[in-house]
Amino acid sequence: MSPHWKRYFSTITNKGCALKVTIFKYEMKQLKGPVLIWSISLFLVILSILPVYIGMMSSTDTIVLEGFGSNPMLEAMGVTLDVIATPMGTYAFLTFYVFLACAINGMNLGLKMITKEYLQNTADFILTKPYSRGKVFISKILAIIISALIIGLAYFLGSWMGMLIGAGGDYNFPAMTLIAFSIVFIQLIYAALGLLVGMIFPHIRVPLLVATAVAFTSYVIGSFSNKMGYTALTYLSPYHYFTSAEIIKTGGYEPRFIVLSLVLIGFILGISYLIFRKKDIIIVS
Amino acid sequence: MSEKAIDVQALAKYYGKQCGIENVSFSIDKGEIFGFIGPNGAGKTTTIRTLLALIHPTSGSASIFGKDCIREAESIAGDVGYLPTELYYYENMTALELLQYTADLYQVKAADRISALADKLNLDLKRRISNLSYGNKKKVGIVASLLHQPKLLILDEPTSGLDPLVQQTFIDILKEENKKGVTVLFSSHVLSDVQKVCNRVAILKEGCVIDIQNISELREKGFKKVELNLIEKLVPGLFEIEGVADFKQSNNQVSFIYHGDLNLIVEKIALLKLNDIFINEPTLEEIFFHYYE
Repeated sequence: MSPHWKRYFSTITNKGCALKVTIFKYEMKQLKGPVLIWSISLFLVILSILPVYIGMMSSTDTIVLEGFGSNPMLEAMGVTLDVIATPMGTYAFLTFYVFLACAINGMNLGLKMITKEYLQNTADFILTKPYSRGKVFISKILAIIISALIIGLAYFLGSWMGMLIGAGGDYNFPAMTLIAFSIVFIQLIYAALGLLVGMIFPHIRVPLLVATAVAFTSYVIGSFSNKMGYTALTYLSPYHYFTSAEIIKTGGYEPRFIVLSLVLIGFILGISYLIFRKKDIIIVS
Repeated sequence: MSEKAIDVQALAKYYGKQCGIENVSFSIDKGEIFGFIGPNGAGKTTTIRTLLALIHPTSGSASIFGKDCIREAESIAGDVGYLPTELYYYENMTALELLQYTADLYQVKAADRISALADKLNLDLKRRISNLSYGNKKKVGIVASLLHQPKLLILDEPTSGLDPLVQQTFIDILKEENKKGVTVLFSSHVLSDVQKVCNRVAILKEGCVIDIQNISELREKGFKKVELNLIEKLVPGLFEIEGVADFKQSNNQVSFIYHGDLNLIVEKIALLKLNDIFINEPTLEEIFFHYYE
């Protein structure tokens, strides 16, 4: 064996805290590519689009605004015309669409975290090592949380720069920060849901398709219920837990929805863990 | 402190109404090489996966080094090396990366051990898992199961996919490990593989342990598959003796499976004029079908 390999071995097999984070580190390594792509994409998209939209919305051209005013999606989003004409309103409008993308990413992340071990049949490998199923589960959840935070941070930075370019100093920084980091919550709620679905149907071969279907369905339910005034139904659509208009108005998240989000994430993860703990690992050749 | 490496009592696993294993009981002493034989679908892998807490038993109990296999799986895993029958690893890794990851999971410094085992097995560590043949993946699996110097090795069909030379090297490695006190559970459907290394053997069929024997006793039974090509017609009733099974005759071809006193059967065959004779080891399926019905 070459000295280079020996050096490498001794580095990676040092005793200490290594064991506790081994699976987490591996998962992060696996997620490096997708997280990087998502972060850069969202950063660039909001950075390039936000100044353009702000310029367009705040122009004196009323035809553009009237066009938006007749868009039923605005009502579905809970955004009014006078709000959308401001830089923060424009940002809120654009972020609503980013929510959808983040929901798909979150669900896909959660689903793949489980299904990949079954589809590659690597569950045997990982679950016969000196790690309890609980530790494996927590390592995977930590990797998801860190990934969601990195993507959220990239979106925040893109938003901030976009806002500086588009609105100069004329915007509400705390509200913008809260809106930007809403995507972390959206990702985490859907990731938890993805984990649960992955636990129940671990052999799903098309996680992205399932993620898109679930994210769109809840998006449609939320938009429909908001437009029709079925308040109870909006609880089924996590997009509406973080209504930008409310954040701009109150300067904070709605406490009931933050509590609901955390309870929902905790509950879904709890159920997922209980299933994972008892689940038989069946080989599929 | 328990002197048993593995102790299984009335273990059962049902998938709905379908029986995986039923009433499986056996124990393995520390330092023993214990064979697990049976045809495909006999329940060998189900039993092994239960021992490793990959599946949960419907009833019964199993312990390794006195610890409950399900409740104390995490603590047991550090002392166990497992080589599964079907090998699936992270395809985007090289063999070396996978083995490094494995060493990291076991929290051991295993550079020298990996290097020594890879050399013995003639394994190229730089190649990507996805580019490895089944035999080479098996070699990676062997190194992965041994690198942390486990006290117990659980091997499920370990020799399948290995060429005869590597098989022999692997058997030598196992014997070396056993000399150091490592206990081995060796599961196979190839009787000759089990006979080469094991002290005792459990015979499984349709989810049940139907017999546990010392390997020497099994050898004494001397299962042979005899095929004769006769010049003259067979004397009727010549092979109607105890120990002959699956007797078939077609024109001047005769075949049967025999276990018992070899001298007796040789005396019978000596009475015949032969064109040719083949005496082989019957397949395990043939033995099971005719002697363990």
